[in-house]
Amino acid sequence: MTINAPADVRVVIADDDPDIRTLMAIAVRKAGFTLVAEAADGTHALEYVTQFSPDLVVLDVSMPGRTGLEVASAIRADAALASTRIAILSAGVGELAVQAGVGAGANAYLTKPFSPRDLASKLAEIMQ
Amino acid sequence: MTMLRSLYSKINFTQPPPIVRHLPTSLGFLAAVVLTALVPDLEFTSMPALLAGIGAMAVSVILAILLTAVPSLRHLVILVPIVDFLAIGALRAATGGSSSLFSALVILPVLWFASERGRRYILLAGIGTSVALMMPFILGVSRMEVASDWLRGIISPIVFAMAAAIVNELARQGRIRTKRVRDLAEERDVMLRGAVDYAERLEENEARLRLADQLTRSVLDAVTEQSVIGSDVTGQIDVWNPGAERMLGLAAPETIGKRFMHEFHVAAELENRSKELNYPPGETVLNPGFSALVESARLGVPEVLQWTYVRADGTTLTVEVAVTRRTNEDGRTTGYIFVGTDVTQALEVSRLKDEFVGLISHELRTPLSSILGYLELMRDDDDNPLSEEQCSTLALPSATLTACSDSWATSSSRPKSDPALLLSKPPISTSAPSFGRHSSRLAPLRRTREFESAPMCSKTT
Repeated sequence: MTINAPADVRVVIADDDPDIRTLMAIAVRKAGFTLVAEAADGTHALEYVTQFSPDLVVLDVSMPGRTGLEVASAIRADAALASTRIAILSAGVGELAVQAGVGAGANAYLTKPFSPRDLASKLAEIMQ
Repeated sequence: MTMLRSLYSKINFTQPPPIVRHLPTSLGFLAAVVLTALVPDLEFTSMPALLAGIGAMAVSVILAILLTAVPSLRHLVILVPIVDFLAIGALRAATGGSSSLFSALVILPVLWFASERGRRYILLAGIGTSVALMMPFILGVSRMEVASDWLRGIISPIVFAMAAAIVNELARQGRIRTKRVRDLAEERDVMLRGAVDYAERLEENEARLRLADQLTRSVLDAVTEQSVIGSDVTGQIDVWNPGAERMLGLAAPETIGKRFMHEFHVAAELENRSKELNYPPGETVLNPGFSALVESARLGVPEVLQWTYVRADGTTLTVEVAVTRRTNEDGRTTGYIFVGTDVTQALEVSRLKDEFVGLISHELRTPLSSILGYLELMRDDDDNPLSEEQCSTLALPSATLTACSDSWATSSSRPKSDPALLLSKPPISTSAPSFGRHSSRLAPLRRTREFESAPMCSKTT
């Protein structure tokens, strides 16, 4: 799929905290991307990803059902989703946490707390 | 009898005093005088000669006593047999001259001369004999009437001189043998003294070694919280302290000389380490696993690594092991020492701490995201009901909490307690995000109290 404009970038976000999801959604819109689905747990997140084949997935790590890392690993295991970019947005800041995120196949590991404005620019950077 | 025994024991027969050497002559002379006086068929033919003989013998006895009493005059001892020749010659003259029964007494001073050191005494013995035999003619008691009278003064001394020569030679050889025996005895004494000294030194060294061994052993035995294991260059165990016994569940007699160091390690760990070191040959080619264990120490660099020890019952424990090299006086490697500290508990504490910090961090950072995120949205909103100062008042403690959380996370992630991570390089690149920058950014925030959204750390691949 060819991305000509930011609006062509389709994004799925996942976090069990609705406030965080709202802020993530705002950041996605600030970046000019199109939010196609929001998930409150890992299981739904993977369903949405499989269903919409988004260009970018923003995942929290600690979620009910599947964790963000498990979802990222599942995406990387699916050849049909090879072009999907993954950003992990986590409260874990240890080196081990970063290693785990990168090991699961994430393109970027972002930490909480975050500014919607900075998150937007980071997401744009990831999609460049 | 007792007195005689005592006297006998005091006499040195190797070098008898003059009085002892003279005793046979004086006793023989006395016996001759007594026999001549008592036996009816015997008679004194010349009283002046008898008196001269007795006088000479008295002088001889006195000389012998004097020279015995005064050792410093011992060099004059040869005067004693000289006077004896005169006394015996006079006695011979007094008891019939050439027909005297006591001519044979002359052999006694001859033997005295013959036993002296030096050939010249053989000649002196001959001359003395000649004088003694010719004494009846010298004193005028007899007259030379036939040729045999003067020939006796030549032939007999020659025969006596030959006997003296034989005795002199035998005495010389006897002295040589005695000297050899004495030298050997002295040599034996020196060797004996040397052996005794050596034995004493050996005993002292043994005592010192025992003391040093006791000291080393007591130090090793006192170490109960660390395992101290020693091995030779092949890995065979030769030191096993109580700490090792406690840690690995085997007593010293079960391991020393019977087990190898690598047997207490996990084979896979040794294989991994060997692979990392490209299978070092080391000094233990028969045991590549052990080579990997001691490779750094073998090269002279002590090494501290975390390993997994396998106990006697098959259970495992994580230990931090310091490996150092043992060398002899020449600096050659004779073995290795492994000092192990059980870090299983420390690792568990560290893991729990990491989990706790991770939990606190998560519980803190998620609400902070909401606070700071919505503050930013409010500031961007023209209808923001809060003033800029109120926004900053909300932002400052949030940023402080974020900085604290970062600090905990940094300190918690610093020591890498996972043995697997220590034994292999982590796959993460060095461009991992820095988690400590909030503190530095907090300072200007405090100064201006101007709201600034908390920075976001990221790692992009």
